[in-house]
Amino acid sequence: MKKGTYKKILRHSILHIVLICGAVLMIFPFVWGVSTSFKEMREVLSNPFNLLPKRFTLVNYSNVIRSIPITRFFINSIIVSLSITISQLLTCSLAAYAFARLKFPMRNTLFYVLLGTMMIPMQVIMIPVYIILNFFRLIDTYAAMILPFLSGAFGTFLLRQFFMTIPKELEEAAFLDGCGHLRFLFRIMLPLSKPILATLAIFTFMWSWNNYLWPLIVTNRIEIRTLQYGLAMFKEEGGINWGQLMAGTTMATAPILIMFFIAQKQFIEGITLTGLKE
Amino acid sequence: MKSNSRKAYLFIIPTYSILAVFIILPIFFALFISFTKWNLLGSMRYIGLSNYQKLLHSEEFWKALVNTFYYTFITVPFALIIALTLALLLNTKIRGLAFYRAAYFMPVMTSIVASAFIWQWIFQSQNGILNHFFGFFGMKPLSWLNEPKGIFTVIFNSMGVTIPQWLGGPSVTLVAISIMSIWKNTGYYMIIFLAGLQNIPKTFYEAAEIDGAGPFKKFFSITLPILSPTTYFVLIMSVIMSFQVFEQVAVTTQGGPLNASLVLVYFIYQKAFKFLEIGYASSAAYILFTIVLVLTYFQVKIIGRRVHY
Repeated sequence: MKKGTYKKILRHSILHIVLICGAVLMIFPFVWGVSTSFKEMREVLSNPFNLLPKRFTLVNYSNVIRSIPITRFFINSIIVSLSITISQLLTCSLAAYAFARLKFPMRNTLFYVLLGTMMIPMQVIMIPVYIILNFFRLIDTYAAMILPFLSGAFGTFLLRQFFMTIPKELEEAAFLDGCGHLRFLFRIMLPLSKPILATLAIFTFMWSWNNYLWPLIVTNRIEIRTLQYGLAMFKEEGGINWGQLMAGTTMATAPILIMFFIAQKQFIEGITLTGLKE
Repeated sequence: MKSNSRKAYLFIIPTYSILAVFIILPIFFALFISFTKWNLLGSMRYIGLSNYQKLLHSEEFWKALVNTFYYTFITVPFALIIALTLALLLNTKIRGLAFYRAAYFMPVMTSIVASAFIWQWIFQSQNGILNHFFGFFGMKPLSWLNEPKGIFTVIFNSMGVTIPQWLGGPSVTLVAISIMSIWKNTGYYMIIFLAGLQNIPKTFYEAAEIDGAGPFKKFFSITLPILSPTTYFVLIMSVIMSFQVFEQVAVTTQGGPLNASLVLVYFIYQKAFKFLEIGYASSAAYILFTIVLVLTYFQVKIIGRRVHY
């Protein structure tokens, strides 16, 4: 018996060592990046491998704030990401409800079309979408960054899968009380679906916050650029100042990482649900 | 019933108008544009299949295609094997699961722009951590993101052997970009694998243990077969995703040096939005679409098979 426990402890220790090594490899670029952002330029060049800055400084951060309109980029990112997220929650809920609960002609065909659009990558259609937005003179506006993503097949699919699991009896009782579909959706269905709505919100927000390709294509003016694009632009101007670049990177990444640590469960659940689609 | 279907259409109209204008219409529009010569400003001219012919004769396009395949062949197997290994290790009732999961997932959360910056710093030829680390083993520093030579050429050269150019393999730069992507995506696949593993009923293993099966036997005759739908799903998804690689290249190398890291989407982006060869770029985009479509077809087939299973 005792021999067995020793063996188990040994096995778990080896396991932990392997896992910690992996975790260090994963986290270390962040740690080093953040530590560089607090170093003076001299130290970045002379002693880049020190994990802890010899002299802690915030000068890189103040330089970033002074040299690029990072507050503006921040606000732009929030405007774009929040609009997309709120709109998706609404439009996807409506469509998902129809597919989960209502019967209508062509329902299956329309659902297959929805699934089909999920397979078309943005990269394939970026040119025509650009042309369409250009036709309506929307290039270089917030609308260009927001409109194409006001709803999405992924969100609709995700919510529909969840709505299907809510018992039908609930609905029958509600309709006996004279409750309409819209009211039923907002009063009963959505409150019951809070976890999945949170998942969708987090994913949509993260995706649009991190999106670089689309703002790069549809914006030119500095004032409406989002954080990712602004950050990329930052590098192109003059030589690379690693301390400043890492300060900018840290600022751009922090909101998403904080969100992740607060809502870790929703993230994992969301991926699990989409990964095991039946 | 009738009012019900009207209501249903009202419910789906917002979503379907967005999909129609920004996905369904564009996918047909893109095909149409690919048969034209157009610079966005002047008039469109129908030129049939000329764009496609031009693509087939373009060295740059082939380079982009080959690089994209290389990128896929490097990133997909490594990311999948590492992800599966990690998932297996984490699926052992070990303590600290939440911590490890969060650690491995952090790169997934980070924007590609931010991770590309961090990695660019790691990959620096002077003062870069990776070269510093290699220095310990007496290896010469590499200019990771500025080295068009093939990885095998460089490895064999360092051993004093010269190999023919066609055996050079993907450029060092492309390998560096692939390493960055593996780091970024592994956590995502790991979570999916972990979910798949947790779905395997414990009783299967208990039964196997009674029959005297060892850990390897259990892995190959229970875990792997039951996990196969998840594995297929992750495989196809990661292949599709790797064909769409763009940001890593756009932020770090812009396809250089000497097109050594030029990938398909970057080629399309460059032609369309830098040189305004809209028709030509669209034909390349349609080739990308065809590749993704073929891969998706396999995915649907597999999911279809899974339903019967």
